[in-house]
Amino acid sequence: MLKILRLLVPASATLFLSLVWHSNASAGGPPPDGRLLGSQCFQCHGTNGKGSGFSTFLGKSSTEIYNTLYEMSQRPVESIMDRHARGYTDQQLHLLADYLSTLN
Amino acid sequence: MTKMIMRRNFLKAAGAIATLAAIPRAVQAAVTPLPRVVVVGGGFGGATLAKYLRMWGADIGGINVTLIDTNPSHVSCVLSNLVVNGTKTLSSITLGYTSLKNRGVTFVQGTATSVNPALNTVRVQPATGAAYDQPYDHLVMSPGIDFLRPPVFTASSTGGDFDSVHAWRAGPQTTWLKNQLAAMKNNQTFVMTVPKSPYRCPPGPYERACIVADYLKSKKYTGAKVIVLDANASIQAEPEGFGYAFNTVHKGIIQYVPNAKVDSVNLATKSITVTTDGGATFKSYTANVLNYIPNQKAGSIAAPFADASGFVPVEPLSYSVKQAIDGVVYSNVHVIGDACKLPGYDLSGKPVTVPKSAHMANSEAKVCADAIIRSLGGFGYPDDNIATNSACYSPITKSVASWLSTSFVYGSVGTAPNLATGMIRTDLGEAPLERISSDGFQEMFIWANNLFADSFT
Repeated sequence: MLKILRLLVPASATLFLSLVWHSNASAGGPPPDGRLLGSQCFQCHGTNGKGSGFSTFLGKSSTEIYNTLYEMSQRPVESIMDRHARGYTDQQLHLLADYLSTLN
Repeated sequence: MTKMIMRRNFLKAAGAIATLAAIPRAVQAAVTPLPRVVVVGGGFGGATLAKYLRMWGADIGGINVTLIDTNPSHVSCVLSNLVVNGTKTLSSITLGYTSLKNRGVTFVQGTATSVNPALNTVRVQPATGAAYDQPYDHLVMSPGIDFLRPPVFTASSTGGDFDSVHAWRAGPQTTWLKNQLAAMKNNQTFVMTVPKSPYRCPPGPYERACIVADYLKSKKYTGAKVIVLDANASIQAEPEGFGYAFNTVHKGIIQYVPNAKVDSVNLATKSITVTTDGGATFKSYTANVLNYIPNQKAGSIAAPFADASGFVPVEPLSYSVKQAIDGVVYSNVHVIGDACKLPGYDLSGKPVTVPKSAHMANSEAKVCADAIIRSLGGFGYPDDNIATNSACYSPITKSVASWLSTSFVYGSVGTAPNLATGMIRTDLGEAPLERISSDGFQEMFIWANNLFADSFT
């Protein structure tokens, strides 16, 4: 958590984020972890990642997706994704990378 | 219908009519086959909500979704300034509901005229036939904006009310504006207003000024001008990019006037009077084309749930309304998109506005859909590890575009016990000047097409 705060929050501010975990997905069960967060990528990358024109995360592992997002959040801003990646907590980047890697 | 009455009586007996959201579907299943969600307004927010409720509703065995809109299809505001300059056609940005119907959404062309939250019904006047009450378990209103009258208004002899020359809802007015622009000549003036924040699409008015200036330049008109009367103290979105566009790209054509509070609008003389010093002095502008974009409020169906700002305060995790009606807060009534008002803060705890945009409405619809599914399924309500975002591209000429991005995460900022809780703006930024480019212009269509598809198909 301290690492997240260092990454995303100016020293003058404190950001508290609630962490509520839900059980894993199953038929008839609660929404899968990360689905709601991951769906916020679909505006540009298509519903369940099936858009066209921008680069895709389909077929990539969770680690690959996370590493890409992490790199985007650290490098100088050139594209919208460099901004978007800065908008999530580190925990959220992991959670949505895990979910997006399950789509195909 | 009989089933719904039975169910209502059952709920009333349980003393739970206002806390319907808390009743697990297992209990509901005993009296009604599928939970009913009624969505009022088929723009980006409402369409996305209807789609995702059907797509994700399988979690709980399905949801009966009814989408109500006055029009048979939705004309996108996104890209509509490119209809004004002739780059796009209106039909190319008209989005139908066929795909949503194929997903099992019941589409009703009609107008929702009032809500009876105590009875869980919404009054519908269909395009054809008699008015009726539509029952719901959850109601989601995504009505977009309505407009506020200026202090003084004079109509023209050919009619048209104060809200007839904004082109801030895409459709017939977009075509009207395009025709007005096409009729301009040398030494003529286009006068437009920027509404007081918050308003729909923060970069939109500045984008329009750029598109109009670019068009006038492309026609090689001499002495043609664009006067931008901004009710705000400064450019409200992409200040660097639009500052560059106004002062460099369109230098000599765009005249920017900040702090311009509209006092009177006269459509007969195409003139508008503003004060920039709080009413000490007034200045009138006479236009060849007057594009008056009024200040805004929530769409009228949601007005009973609005506060003094004219917008509807909602809970950021569920988009449930916060305003009580006759002492009752109805957690099964939700408002998303341009009509809603969220508690938003920057990282220092300063209040900020969550922008009103198509992309954000889509984002909010997903949060709302997830919360409704958790509520109906009794899975724990709602998820609080949420994020929303908005991105957009803004053309500053007919071949070059800038972009804007903002991100929000639910949480609290500050130092206990003085915490501000809500949607925390974790990032905000615009295209670096060197990235305002023709590449951006091409990416704009990729973004728009994917946004259209994620919302309407």
